[in-house]
Order: sequence, then structure tokens, then C-alpha cells
Amino acid sequence: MRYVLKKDFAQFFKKNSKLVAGIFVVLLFYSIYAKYNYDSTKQVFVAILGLYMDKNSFSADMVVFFFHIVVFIYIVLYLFFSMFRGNIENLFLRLPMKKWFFYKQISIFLVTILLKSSFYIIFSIISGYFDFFHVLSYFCIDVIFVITIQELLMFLLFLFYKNKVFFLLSSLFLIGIFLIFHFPLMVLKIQKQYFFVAVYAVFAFLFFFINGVFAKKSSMHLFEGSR
Amino acid sequence: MKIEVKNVSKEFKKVVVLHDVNVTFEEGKIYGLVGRNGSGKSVFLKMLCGFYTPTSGEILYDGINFIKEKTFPSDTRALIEKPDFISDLTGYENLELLAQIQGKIGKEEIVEVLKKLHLEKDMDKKFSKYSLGMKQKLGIAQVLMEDPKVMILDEPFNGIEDETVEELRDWLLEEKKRGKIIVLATHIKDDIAKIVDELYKFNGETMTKVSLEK
Ligand SMILES: Nc1ncnc2c1ncn2[C@@H]1O[C@H](COP(=O)(O)OP(=O)(O)O)[C@@H](O)[C@H]1O
Ligand SMILES: [Mg+2]
Repeated sequence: MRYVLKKDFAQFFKKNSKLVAGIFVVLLFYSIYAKYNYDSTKQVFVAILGLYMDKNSFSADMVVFFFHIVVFIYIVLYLFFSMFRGNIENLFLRLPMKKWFFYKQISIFLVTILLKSSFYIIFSIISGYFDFFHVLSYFCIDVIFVITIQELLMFLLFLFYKNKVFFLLSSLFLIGIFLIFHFPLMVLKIQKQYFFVAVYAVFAFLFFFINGVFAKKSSMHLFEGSR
Repeated sequence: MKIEVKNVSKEFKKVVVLHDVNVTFEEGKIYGLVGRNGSGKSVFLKMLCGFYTPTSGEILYDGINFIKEKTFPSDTRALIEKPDFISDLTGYENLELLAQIQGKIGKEEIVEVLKKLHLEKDMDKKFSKYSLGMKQKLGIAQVLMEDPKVMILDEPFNGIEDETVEELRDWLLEEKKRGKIIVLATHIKDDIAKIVDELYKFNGETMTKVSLEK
């Protein structure tokens, strides 16, 4: 566990320090824009963190909404593939694949939480929105939401390596679901709908376990494919 | 213990790298694999470790087909292609972190291995500051430190000074006497010709035994 965490943290923040700084700069610029355009501190806060978008009209909020999602998708992809680079024999002759994948998920989770919480703290100060209870509840829902997306993405990656047809079908299916349910993704929107939150949490857990099984089964495809 | 490689072939997207390879590795012997760059030595070693799947044929560790069981062989250590460690940590810290995974050895054993490889004076330098030869030594230390039953070394002597190579050869001969299975691959035959019990040549897609006249 210590090996996986140390390696991931050292690599992620070292190789991506400019990117992380860039993300903050972009959001800082956006916060200036948001301050001009919104009256209440809450609206500013929500806008910067991409918690809501008006899906009927194109707006800057929409861009920020997807920007946040892309950032955390990048984290998953980076940490997911970093595991197959370099000397796999150091690690995998010592640690079973299944355990390793479990640790990997923990490290993805920790990096995600770390970034998210720094976003929340910094932009709560910048927007001047200090309603602790609300900030915390947004944070929790947001984290669950992001982790669900990350788990789904890993699931799709495994499918991609195992069977391209299954991969296509499932991707279409998932996109279909998102479209049918009209993007039930916005944190602000599902804030009071605990049902949705629970569904996300269940999904995250479900795919967490499925991915664990997949990781063991498809290790060889992963090693050969990502050389 | 023995490792049996039976009728193993390996293709990547229809490009044949290895065809119908047969060999048995037994305890207390050193095996040498030679062949040009790109002849499939590293691919073969990765299959031995269970990282790559043979397109056909099977690899049995004491009769167990671990590739089918989706696990990696136990009590096996390998250095394949370039050594690679966490660049921000020192050589020692890297080994310690790896040793902690199974908890078989502690500081004493790690330092002892580093001493044998003449790396102890550099063990507190960061890996990113290591020279090619030092990196290579650390890779070898990683293989030897936990006293594994099976040792797989790919181009092990790259960039290491002659004196240490000489000592390493003696060390491997000692390990062999203790009943280890040691597999060495190299594109420079002279590196290992003196110490191997059996030598195999990768030639095109096939692997053939080379007679050793000592
Ligand atoms: N994961 C992979 N995917 C596709 N081709 C590969 C992969 N690994 C190795 N090869 C190919 O297999 C051949 C043998 O490579 P390798 O075993 O590294 O040679 P060497 O004998 O120098 O160690 C090379 O042509 C290489 O390009
Ligand atoms: Mg090679």
C-alpha cells in the first residue's frame, strides 16, 4: 500500500504540477467573471465549482461544469496508466493484482479528495460563501458524483481492452442513460434528492467491486497493450 | 522445483515473435539466453513472469499454469529491460518500500545486498541522480535481496564495471549451488558464457540449444 501511494503521489504531483497550477489559474480567472455576473456569493461559489449548468442554453457555466469533469477524468486516466509504465516486475511479482488494484483505487480516491477539498476551501474563501453546512453537503455529493464517473470510466477501459464490441455497446448504453435522464449530474440539482445521491453511491460501490474482478482478469491485456 | 515451457508461441497482432519454444528450467542451474536485439528475449522473460500471455502453449511452475489462474509466479524476482524506480526516493528507500510489500526482509538484508554490489556509499542518493550502472545495480539488488527461488535477469551487466561484474558472476554461481533457478538473457554472449550450464539462442522465431564446449 505504501509503495503504491508513494509512487502515485510522487508521480502525479511532480509530473502534473504545471497542470494543477494551470487548473487553479483558469478557475481564478473564471471566479473574476463569476463575481461580475452573479449577485449572491452562493451563485458565485456554485458557478466556479461547476456544480450547476443550465442545459438549455450555452453558457460559461456549462464549460466550467465539463471542465471539472474532464480534470477528474484526467486524474483517473493518468493514475490508471501510470501503473503499467516502467518496471512492472518490481511490483507485480510481490503484490497480487487484485490487492494492487484495490490500493490503486484508494490512491485515486485520495488524489481526488485532496484536489476537490482544496478547490472547495480556496473558492469558498474567494467567493465569500461560508455556509459551512451547504459547502460540506455539496462537497460530499460532488465527491460521490466524481467517483462514480471515475469508476464507470475504469470499467469502460477494462472493457475496451477485453472486448471492443462490448465496450462500444456499454458506452452507448451509458450515454443513452445520461441523455434519457437529462444529465442528472448537477450537484446542485440533486442536492435535495437523496435518492439520486444514493443511486450514485451504490453505482460507485458496484463498479468498484466489478473493476476489482476485472483488474485481475485482464491484467495481461493491460500489460501487453500499454507498452 | 522446475519450470516447464511447452510449445510456447507468441504473436503480436499476427507478427510472430516466438514459435514453438520448448525448454525446462531446473533447480541448481544457470540458463543463458542469447540473441540479437529484438529477437524476443524480453518477451520470453515477460511470459515467464506471467505478464504476457503465450498465444499458444503453456508455462508450468511445478505443474501449475499460473497464467491460466491469472496470478504471477511466487518466489520469483525479475529485472526485465531497464531498471525503473521512484525517482524522488533514494536507492535505499526504493528497496525498503518494495521489501515492505511482503515483509520478508528488513534493513540489514537490504544494506547487505547493497554492500555486495558496491552501492552502499550511494544508497542515500536519489534514484534520479544515479548513473546508468548504479541504476542497473539497484535493479539487480531488487532481484537478489529477498533470496528468491527463481531469479530472472535481462541484460544484467549493462553499464556495470568489470570488477563488479566478475563478483556478480561468482555470486550467481554461489546462488546456483544453493539450488536456485537462474535465467540470464543477453545480446552479448561473452558476458555469461563462462557461468551458464545451458545456453539457448533466439534465432528468428525459434529458440535452439547451443552446445557448450568449455
Ligand atoms: N507489448 C508488445 N506489443 C507489440 N510488440 C511487442 C511487444 N513487446 C515486444 N514486442 C516486439 O517483440 C519483438 C521482440 O522484442 P524483445 O523481446 O524486447 O527483444 P529482445 O530480444 O531485444 O529483448 C520486437 O520486435 C518488439 O517490437
Ligand atoms: Mg530485451
